[in-house]
Parts: sequence; structure tokens; C-alpha cells
Amino acid sequence: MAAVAGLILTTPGFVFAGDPPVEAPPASTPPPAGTPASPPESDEAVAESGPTLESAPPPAPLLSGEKGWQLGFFGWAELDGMYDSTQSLTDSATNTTLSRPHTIAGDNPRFQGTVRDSRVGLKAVAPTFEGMKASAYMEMDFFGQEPPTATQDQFFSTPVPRLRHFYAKLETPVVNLLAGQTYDLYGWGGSGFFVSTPAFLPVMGELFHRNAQFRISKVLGPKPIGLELAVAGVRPADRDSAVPDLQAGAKFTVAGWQGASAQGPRQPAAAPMAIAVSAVGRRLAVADFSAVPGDLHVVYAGGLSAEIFLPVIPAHGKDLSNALSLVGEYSIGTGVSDLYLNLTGGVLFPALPNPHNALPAPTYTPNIDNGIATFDANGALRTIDWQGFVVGANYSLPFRQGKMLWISGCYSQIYSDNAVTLTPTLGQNFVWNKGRYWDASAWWDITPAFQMALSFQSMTQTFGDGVDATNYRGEASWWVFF
Amino acid sequence: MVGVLLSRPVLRAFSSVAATATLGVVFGGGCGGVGAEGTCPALDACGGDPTGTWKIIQACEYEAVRPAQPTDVTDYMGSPPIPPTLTPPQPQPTQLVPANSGDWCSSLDYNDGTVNNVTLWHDVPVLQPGSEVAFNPDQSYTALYLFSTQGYPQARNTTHFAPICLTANGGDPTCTELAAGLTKFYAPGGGTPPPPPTFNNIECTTSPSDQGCDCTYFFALQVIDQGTWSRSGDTIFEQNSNFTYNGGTLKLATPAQTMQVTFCQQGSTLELSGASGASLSDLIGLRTMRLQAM
Repeated sequence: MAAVAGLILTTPGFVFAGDPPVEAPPASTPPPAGTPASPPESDEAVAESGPTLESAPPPAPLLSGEKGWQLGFFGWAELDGMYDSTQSLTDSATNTTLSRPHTIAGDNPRFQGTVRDSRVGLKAVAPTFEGMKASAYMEMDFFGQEPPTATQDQFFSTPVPRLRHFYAKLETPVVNLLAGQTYDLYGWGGSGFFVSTPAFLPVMGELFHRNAQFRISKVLGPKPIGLELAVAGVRPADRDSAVPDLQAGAKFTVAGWQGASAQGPRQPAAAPMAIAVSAVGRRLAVADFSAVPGDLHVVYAGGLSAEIFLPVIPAHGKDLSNALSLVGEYSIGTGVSDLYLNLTGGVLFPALPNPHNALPAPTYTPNIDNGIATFDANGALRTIDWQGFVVGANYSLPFRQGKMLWISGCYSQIYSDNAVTLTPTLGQNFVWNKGRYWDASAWWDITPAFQMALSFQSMTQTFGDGVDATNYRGEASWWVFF
Repeated sequence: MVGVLLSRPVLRAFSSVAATATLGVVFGGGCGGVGAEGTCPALDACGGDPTGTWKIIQACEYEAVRPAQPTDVTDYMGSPPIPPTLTPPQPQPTQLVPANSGDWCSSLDYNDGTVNNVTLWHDVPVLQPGSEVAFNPDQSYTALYLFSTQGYPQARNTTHFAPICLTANGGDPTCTELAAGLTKFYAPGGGTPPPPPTFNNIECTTSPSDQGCDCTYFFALQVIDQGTWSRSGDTIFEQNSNFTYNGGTLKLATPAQTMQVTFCQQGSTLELSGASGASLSDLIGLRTMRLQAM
């Protein structure tokens, strides 16, 4: 039986029996390629021995009175302590623009303690009906949008919940359907290609985004060669484009070539070698750059990505001792910066001309988020180009089947060839077009459920005037997975 | 051996120690940065007597991109050009944190053969020879600072005007006409000593990229800081009463609090440092100076 992540609660009216188990949560800790993430052993034991309807008290249906329903509850409690060499970042670094050196924020340190990456989730699985299985999945953390007036104390001590995933899924013998919010298909998020790091994903230059979508996929295999084809209509970055973004991808897996896949902060689990490609295409219809707007400006944007999970030293079944694995990603695109999460490079729309220094100055109100596109010196709408790559490695030491101690590291780069040139000279000092990131981490699962990690992370950005801004972060993290 | 090391009691003890140590390191690990000194640590502060007139022979200045204060609204809306600043022009001069990346046309208003408004971009200028400071016996002081971007690579002394910027306000100048208009627009005002033109040697040529104009120049800035001073130990206290940038004033860029300067006078040399990471004369980035008696 496949592993079960989290506690499977068999409430009155719910049966935990013949149907497949609840899957591992995706999140920033998705199941590795082709295989659900391993749960804490104690939790799995609880799940496996959970009561059934037959042994439960009299029915008091929570979701349904139908027999065969399953409800899974999972998550983790997490504490992160972070020391930064600058005051550029909150707890989540991602692609945030760093403070320039020789400023108070750029030259002085900061310490933060946060539990905001803790999370909880639920999954409900309906009884199989004529060979079709329906399920619903919900996961949340505490990175909700804080009001701008929130104090530091409110920001960290009373964080706002945030929806991460919420989707319905229907698995049929022909195709699988997914409707709701989860990782974008572009970049194959949550499919085993994330790097192993305590840093809150994504690392700089890594594709990482969740979106409302309707996805159709078909899985062929999985043995010996698995192939998954998928296509999705996704909430557009620009709602005024009036059409959904289109994403498509293919993923190959080699079932007989297993390695240790460690996703985000989760412990390694056995997963097959995998290669994936994906693409995104979108239409952007952007408000006219004028105080008295005319027609929308339409451009088309898109991107390509390729990912790999490569078991260099394979695992032996579930024994991950001495397993060494690499993950890699290359992406190139234009007008898709939002799919890297928080990536703008500091690119903003220009200001409307104000030759008479009027106040209030005429304002341009864009109908699209900053950093995806902008207007050049001649008033033409241009999309911002970005290309990035990420390489990560993790090695499991030979203790407790390779699931007790492991080390990991990653390196990434991202570059834009037009972020600076599409910015007026006045603003170029605030725009960066090159980013480099690396980290090194050591992990220790003191028990199968209690984990800690120490990590050092370096992040550098090059601004339009050639000045480099760098932040070093030391992070210590603790988790209990349930 | 490994088996012993990984035995449960040892592991438990190790776990506890490691977890505690990690907590201690992380939660007790905060340490200070360099404050506001940028790349310019403070010089000696041995005290002495700073009275006299001193010429600046060396300075440590870091390039400040964003000013500590945005431009005051009334300064911004006054008769152009607005007085120059040490920091480069900002995308939104009246806001500390810009919400846009600035005007592609640099506020150019060219009409009837005249430049009525423009904000040429300039990089952070560096302190030049000829700057001097006088701490007078009557407790008045005068500091004259001369900054310039002369000698910078041409790309750092250039503003580009796209064709739509040249014609936006009814004009259609050639690049030569534009250069003449800009030179006239930035003609120096009066003052003692007379301030330099803010932008010098302005030349505009046709841009090969879009047939607009690329205008090159160098930026010059004269700052005069006058007021009264007093001394306590190794610290000079300066109370500003007059502060001009090329003869003009900027309300929010004029010191409004007593400035503190640590100093060390030995013989004919004087070293000045902004106290506690501050900048001299509140000129952001100008951290330290070595001076010689005149």
C-alpha cells in the first residue's frame, strides 16, 4: 500500500478501507516524481490501523453518509529562525529585490523568527464510482496578505491564513481532471523537481506558482517508462486579456531508476528518475499608456521549461542510504515573470509625462501586475524577458535507511536581457537584471516526525548601474510533520 | 564505533545539545552591521582645535542613490529647474519609494525654441578639489563643497530623448537646437560665490537607435553650508542657517537638526567624520574628510 501522508481520520460515516489512501500533500513539499512523499512512520502506522466504519461508533456524518469516504488531515508545525546580513527581506526571500549597499537597510542585519510556514490540509476522497475516483484537496499556510498597517508583532504573531491549494480531482480510466487551485503545470510544480532547502520556496529563478486552473491529464505507464501528458487552462495573469493562459507539459519517468527525492523541507523519499518539459502561452491586453486611455495594447507572451530529477547514486528500494540525487531546471520566457513568484526585478511602469510639474501628477493605472510588461521609450508595450536555471543536489547519509541525516545544496541564476533597457534612466538604479543564489543545508530527522535543519543561503542581485547587492542568511528550522 | 555513536542515549543527548545550541546560536546570534557609514568608517576622533580655514584634500564618499528625504512639494512645483541634488533625480521626486520607473521624456517641455522644463539625469557626483571648510573664531562656519561628474564614462553622463519626447509639446527641435535650449535652461543663477552651471558642456547628437537625441554633459554641484558651531570634546556641533545647492534651496534637503561631527586636529591637519554614521553637512554619502590648513 502506498504511503499515506498525514493522519487519516476515519470519522463516523467515513470508511478507511478498500479505496486508495489519501495522497501526500503537494505544497512546497510535494510528493517526489511519481511517488507520494513518505510520511512520518508513526503517522503511517496510525493511518494503516485506523478504525473502520464497522468498528466505529454510530454514524454521525461529517461530510457524507455514504460508506467508503475518506478524510485525511495533515500538515506540520514549523519554526524558523533567520539571521540576515541585510534588512531586505521578510521571512520569505524568493525573488524579492534586495536593498542596495551603502544604505541602512543594505548594510545592517536583521533577525526574524516565524511560524508562518506551518500548514494544515485536508483531503476528502469519495468512494470509487464505476471506476472513477473523486477527491478534494485543501491546504493552507499562514502567509496571507497582511494589511499595510500591520505591525511587526501582528505580522509574525497573528499571521493571516492563506489558501495554497484547493481543488477537485476526478480520476477516470480515460483521463484525469483537476479543477481548482494548485501548482501551475508550467514548470511541473509539485511533481518532484523542487530543490531540497529550508528556504521558503521558490529559490531565486525557480518556477513556482499556484493558480486556479482546469487541467486534463493522461498517465501512461508507469512501468517501465511512465509518461504523463497534461494540458491546462489557467487563470490569466491579465484578466483583461479575456482568455485563460494555456499550459501544457509532458513528463517521463523511469520506474526502475529510483533515487532520493527531497522536496523543499521534507525528508527524502524514493522516486523514479524523471524528465519533464512544459510550456505556457498567454495573451496580454494592457491599458493604454495615456492619461486619457485609448485601446488596450495586446501582446502575446510565453515560456518554455525543462526539468530533470536524476538519481546519480540510486536508492535501493526504500533504503536511501548513500543515495545522491540532482534536480535541475531551465526556463526561458517573456511576459511570464509572475510564474517565478515575486519576480519583478524592480521593473515598474514608467510615469506619464508631467512637463509642468503638476501635482498631483497624472497617473497611469495599469491593469496588470508590475514586472510582466512595460512601455518603452516610444510608447510600445514590451514584455520582460527572463531566463533562469536551478541545480540542486541532496545526499542521504547511511543512517536509518538514509532518512535520518542528509545534506543538500543548490545554485540558481536568473537573467533578463531587457529589464534595465526597458526602464527610464531615472529608474535603472532600482532595477536588477541578474540574480544568483546558492545555499547549503544539513538536515537531521531526530525522530521520523521531528526534523531540524541548518542552512546558509546567499543571494546576490546586480542593479542597472552595475552595483551588486548581496544578502547572506543563516537559518535554523524545526518541524513536526503530522 | 558508528554503532556506539548512534546508540539511542548518545543520540538523545546529542539531539538535545544540538537543538539547544542551534537555538542559542540562532536566537542569540544577532550582531551589528556597519550602521550608516557605507564604505567609509569614521576617522580618528582625538579632538583638538578646529578653528581656522581648511581645504579638503581627501574625502570618503559613498554613492547614495536614494535620498533620505523626497523633494518637497513646493520645491517641486516651483519655477523650473528645481535645484539640483547630490543624489540622482528620482522617478517620483516627491515620494521616498517610487511607484513607477520615471518619465521616459525626463519632463522635457520644448516649445517655440525654448526648453521650458527638463530634468536631466545625473549620477552621484564626487567631491572636487577647491572645496573648503572654515570654522571661524566667532563660532560661525562656512563649508563650500564642489561636486562633479566630470570624468565619468559617457553613459553615466547621458540622457536620451525619444522622438515622441521632442515633439510632445509642440516643438520639433534638431538635436543641436535641443542642446542650445538645454544650455540656456541650465544657465547659472547668481550667488556668492557664483554657482556653476548645473549641467555643462551639453552636446546632443542624433541617436542611431530611434533618431531621437542623445545628450551628453557633466553635472556640477556647489553646496554651501553656513551656520554656527560649537565644540565639546572631540565633537563639533553645527547649527545650519543657510544651505544652498547651486544657489537654490530645497526645503527637505536642508539640515533641520544640529549636525554632529567628530574631529581630530593635529598641527595643520584636520579630520572630520559624521558622528554615528551620519554624513557631513547632511550630504548623504559624504562621510569623512581630511583637511589641511590654508
